Amino acid sequence: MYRAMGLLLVAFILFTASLSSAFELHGNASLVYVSSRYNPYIQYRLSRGDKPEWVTTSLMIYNYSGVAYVIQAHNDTEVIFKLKDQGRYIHSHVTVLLSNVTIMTILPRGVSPRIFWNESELISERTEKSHEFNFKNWTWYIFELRTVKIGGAYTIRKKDLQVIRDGIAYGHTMLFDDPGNPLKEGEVFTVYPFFTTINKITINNRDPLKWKNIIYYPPTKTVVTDYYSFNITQPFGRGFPIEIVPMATLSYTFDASDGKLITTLNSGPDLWAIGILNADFIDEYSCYRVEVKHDYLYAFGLFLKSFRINEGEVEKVIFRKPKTKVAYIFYGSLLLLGLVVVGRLKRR
Amino acid sequence: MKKLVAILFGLLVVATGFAAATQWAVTSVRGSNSDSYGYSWTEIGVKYDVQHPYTHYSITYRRGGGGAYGGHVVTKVIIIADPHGAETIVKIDGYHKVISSAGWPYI
Repeated sequence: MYRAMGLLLVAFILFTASLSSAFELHGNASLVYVSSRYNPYIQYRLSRGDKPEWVTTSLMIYNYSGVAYVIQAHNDTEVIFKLKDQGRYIHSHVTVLLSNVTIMTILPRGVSPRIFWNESELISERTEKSHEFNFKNWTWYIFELRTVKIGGAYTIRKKDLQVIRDGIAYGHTMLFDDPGNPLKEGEVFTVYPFFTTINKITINNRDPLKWKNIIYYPPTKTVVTDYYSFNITQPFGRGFPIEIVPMATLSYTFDASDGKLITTLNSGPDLWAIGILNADFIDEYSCYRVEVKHDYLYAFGLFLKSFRINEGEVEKVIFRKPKTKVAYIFYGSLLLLGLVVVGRLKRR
Repeated sequence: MKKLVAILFGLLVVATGFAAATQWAVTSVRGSNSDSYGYSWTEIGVKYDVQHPYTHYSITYRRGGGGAYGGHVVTKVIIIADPHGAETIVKIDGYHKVISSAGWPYI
């Protein structure tokens, strides 16, 4: 009898465990991440001898229809993910908003740059003759823009949280670490176009993570991949090496209580799927706190500014007016109390 | 017709003569930067015409690298090409950047 009950209990536990292993979003969600510009940090960097163009909130390589662009943002960088529950998949729509932007590329003769920005935002445009050894007929293009918007969409397979676009699996999403099936050391993290495995996981039960007026309390979980390297060539996959990365890691810090991404310094499958093949995010406000003020509780990458669940669904809030009679009694009693106090004071 | 061929041949001889007369030289330009966290270096190779070094040249290679000093760790190294050379960004402990650059015309 007891054995049967025990077996039933085990079956029940296994059943609930299998239920919890599939990640559930329950409706819609939006995540807004930001890397902000902060003038005192820029001053600090300039005082150390850095050129102003080197101080950026983000640096990316963007592959837009086969042409690789180097993009640098000097004012704020914002990355917005809008998620929609679609049964076995989560549909994710990404918007990257950059301001005060420099875009650079090099192209062969007869090929003009493919414009992905709004031309009314263009401040200046210039070209330079190539002096590259095997690319003599090529031309460098440099654009300065007020704002740039990059958009894209992909899906996340709920079963294993893989990022998928056009039938290609890029790797585990960087947006969530499923508490029911958490990321572990040694596991494969990304597959395409860069293969990485998880090298180290650290759980912090002590320190909060701060950004301006936002605090995420512990526990937090930081996942770091092993080193990987790559070259990004123009046109994509062959030709001129526009960026060489001999060594890189991916690093993400999650809220360990619900698994959402709080901060990252780099891109990941969710950005690779929309063409952003490499990215470095620096929050200048936090960097100032860390490097100049030595307050190490600040998160210095792209930081989760807002996280909303069920956005889009209108929730009705019924607001009841307080009954006026009750209010009269309340204010009347206050008046009476006041009169008594004043009367007593006068009597003294 | 024969005259035209002769003139063209003559021009070709002169042109190759000029081309052969161009004296090429090679050099490398190196830039570096360091602080208490670590260091960064960039090197480019330049092949230039001795007569016109700053207009008649080509960049033959770009290299870069860096490292971290005691207690710090390099998390990423990026070498970006630009029209005049390259810059190397060495990221240390995730947030600290040490950047160096090298370019031609060398100033």
